[in-house]
Amino acid sequence: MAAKPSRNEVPQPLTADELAALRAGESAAFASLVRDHHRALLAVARGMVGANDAEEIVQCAWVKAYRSIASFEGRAQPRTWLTTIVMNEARMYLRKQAREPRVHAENLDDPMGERFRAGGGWRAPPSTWSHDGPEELLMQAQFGDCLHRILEAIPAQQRLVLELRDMQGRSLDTIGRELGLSAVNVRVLLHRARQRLYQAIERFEATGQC
Amino acid sequence: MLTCRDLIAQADALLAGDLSLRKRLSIRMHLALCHHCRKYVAQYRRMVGLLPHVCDHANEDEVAAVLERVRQEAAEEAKGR
Repeated sequence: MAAKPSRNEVPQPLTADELAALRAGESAAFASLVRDHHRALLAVARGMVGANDAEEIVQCAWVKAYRSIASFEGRAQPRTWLTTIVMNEARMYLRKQAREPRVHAENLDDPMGERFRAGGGWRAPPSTWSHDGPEELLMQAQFGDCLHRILEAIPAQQRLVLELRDMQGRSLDTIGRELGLSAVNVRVLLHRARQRLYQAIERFEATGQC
Repeated sequence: MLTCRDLIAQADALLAGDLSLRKRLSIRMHLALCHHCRKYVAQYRRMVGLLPHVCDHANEDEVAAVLERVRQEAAEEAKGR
């Protein structure tokens, strides 16, 4: 049996053998897919339908993914494919509930606002991160766990855009189309998410506390 | 004159290369003079570069719950045939 990945180990693209195992319906291969992508899919669903309904949306998406796995040709990254299924499932659910998509970018607070003086200069300038970069931090289990808590604490719609843009590499235009948002609103959500993350990393660097 | 706050607000566009030549020049001039903003932009860039490498794996209970749901649905489907 293959060793389980550590919590922060990034899923690699599927090998031909892994793809073949998935398409053949091998349960260990499917379990590995779930392990690698389930939480990211939950983040997508939370941003679209809210926390209460996200788990059900993702469970339904997994059922659909399992049913159609034989036709997955591996041209797209598995996460991209799975995210599309989750987003379709969320849209269908919202239509059935006669609800509008919840994603919007109004009334967002400014996470960095208090760090500037009225004239626009720094009141609380950035501290220097002690490591060469967060790459080294990511190798530390304590920081990895902290980072996951930070990501969970980011408001769901900002986290959704962060997932689609920074973790999956979708273009801002594509995200706007998929979520029914203007490009400006996508940018605002992304910027707020990144600023929150920056502040949290800085706090961890300064205090060792999450 | 571009303020530090203005510059931070444009950090994403700067990283994405989405700025006009005029804005880029204005930002470069500011960065040449302001070490706080230089530090912020450099660390911000590294943080964004890190994100594709962040992965949060589901625990075994979460995996088991999904597999059970898939199994149940497959069983229901087989019964209905």
